[in-house]
Amino acid sequence: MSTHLLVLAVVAMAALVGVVSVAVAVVAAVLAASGRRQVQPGVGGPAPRDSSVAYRRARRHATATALLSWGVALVVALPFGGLLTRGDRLLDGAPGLGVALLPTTFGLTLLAIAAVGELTWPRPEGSVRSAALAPRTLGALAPRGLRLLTWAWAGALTIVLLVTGLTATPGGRSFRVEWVTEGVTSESGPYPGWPYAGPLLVAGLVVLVVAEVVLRLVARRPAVADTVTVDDERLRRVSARRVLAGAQLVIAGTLSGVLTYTGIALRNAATSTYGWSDGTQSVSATLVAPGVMAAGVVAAVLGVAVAIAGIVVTMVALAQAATEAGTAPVGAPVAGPAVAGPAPVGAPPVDRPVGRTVDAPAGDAP
Amino acid sequence: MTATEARLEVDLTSGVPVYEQIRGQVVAHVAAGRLRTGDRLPTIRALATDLGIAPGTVARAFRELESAGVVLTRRRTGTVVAPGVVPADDAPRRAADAYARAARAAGLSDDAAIDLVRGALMAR
Repeated sequence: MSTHLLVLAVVAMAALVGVVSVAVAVVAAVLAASGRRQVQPGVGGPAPRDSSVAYRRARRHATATALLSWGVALVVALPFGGLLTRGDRLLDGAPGLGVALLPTTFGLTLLAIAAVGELTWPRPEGSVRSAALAPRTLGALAPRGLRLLTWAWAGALTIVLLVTGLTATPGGRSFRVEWVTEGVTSESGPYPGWPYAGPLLVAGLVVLVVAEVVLRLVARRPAVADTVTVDDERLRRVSARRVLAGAQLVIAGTLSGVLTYTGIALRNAATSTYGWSDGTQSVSATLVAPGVMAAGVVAAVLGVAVAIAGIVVTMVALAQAATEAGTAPVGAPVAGPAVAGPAPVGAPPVDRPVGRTVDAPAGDAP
Repeated sequence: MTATEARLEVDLTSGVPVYEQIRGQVVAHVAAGRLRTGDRLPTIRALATDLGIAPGTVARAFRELESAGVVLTRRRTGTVVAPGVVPADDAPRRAADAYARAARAAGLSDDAAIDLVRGALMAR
């Protein structure tokens, strides 16, 4: 890598990190502000007894997180990630690696802002606090199919990159077919050998791990104050679905690109036309490696299919999340006479939850 | 929320320490049969996060519960309701449920409802 390209790559990387950091800081401030709007009664005051208010506040925070994470990832990460591709040589011998890492740039930006959203989730306020006495598990909160699909994409990406890394030419940028009898070779690239496979493998696994970390933040964030568990868990599922939608899209996008480039390289390398001349006439022949050709076609088709699947799954998951987020809460204003006033006007009349407990009897106090 | 879901509610302005409120309510849930042997409780950190209180407060409540034999804490399974802990007899429990419903219907505060019970007990 020449010096000026190295400088360009470093400057672009620093610019990207700086801009994303500023964006994340701005997002944190916006999310904190969104959580403080319509503040519940303050310190020493009664707890917010209208669960719909607490629920709306939490839902607003979740929506702001989703909009900011997807918006910033699209508006900031992709253009600045594009700067990385101007030099087109993040690593010596791997032109185009910056482009290949664009989905990762997008995904990590999205996940970073989603994490900020979880860390700034509205805290319990008021003097009366409630919580369910049951453990929350990530397996029960994260949509199982979407999580499995994300892991499946990552597993497939790992396998494909290991195969391409092991089958590439020693230079790692092309695939070679040899017809020993004829003494003919055919080589085609770009092919994701180790100069590409290594960074892409690390990138895919980093996205997967960060997504799992954010899912744990979703599970561990404070419960929505004074709403019922099903409402709280619904909002957690919404957040988890949005996180997984982004993560699977990023990994599927990377896998799609790897498969497509692999397929094209295999198809091109699978045929070779050679010729010779004895001075009076020229003869040419075309050699075909049917197995390599078939593998190339399959890889290319799979690449397109994975891209379509990733996009469709993302759209469906985001639509489901929006539908779930728009569901009216079933939580009731817990109109406990000991701590609360009457239910607010317009609040749905519902039964007091049977599982709610009263304060410990004064006689039990030490 | 299901009808049988156990919840905690603490009042930070109450004269009763928060850890004691937690301890008493867990005991009450066990007595009422809403928490049974083997039921897992949330982690200290999760409960403290949900209630917006210091983890040490929840930890103290759990220690008190453990020393009283109400719960067990194991490294792998977390905190669970201890074996041998049995809910109150069925008849008093149903009577308590009926009284709680009547108290709610009458608009009694929790303290007023409990005072009535205490008064009735003192008369026996």
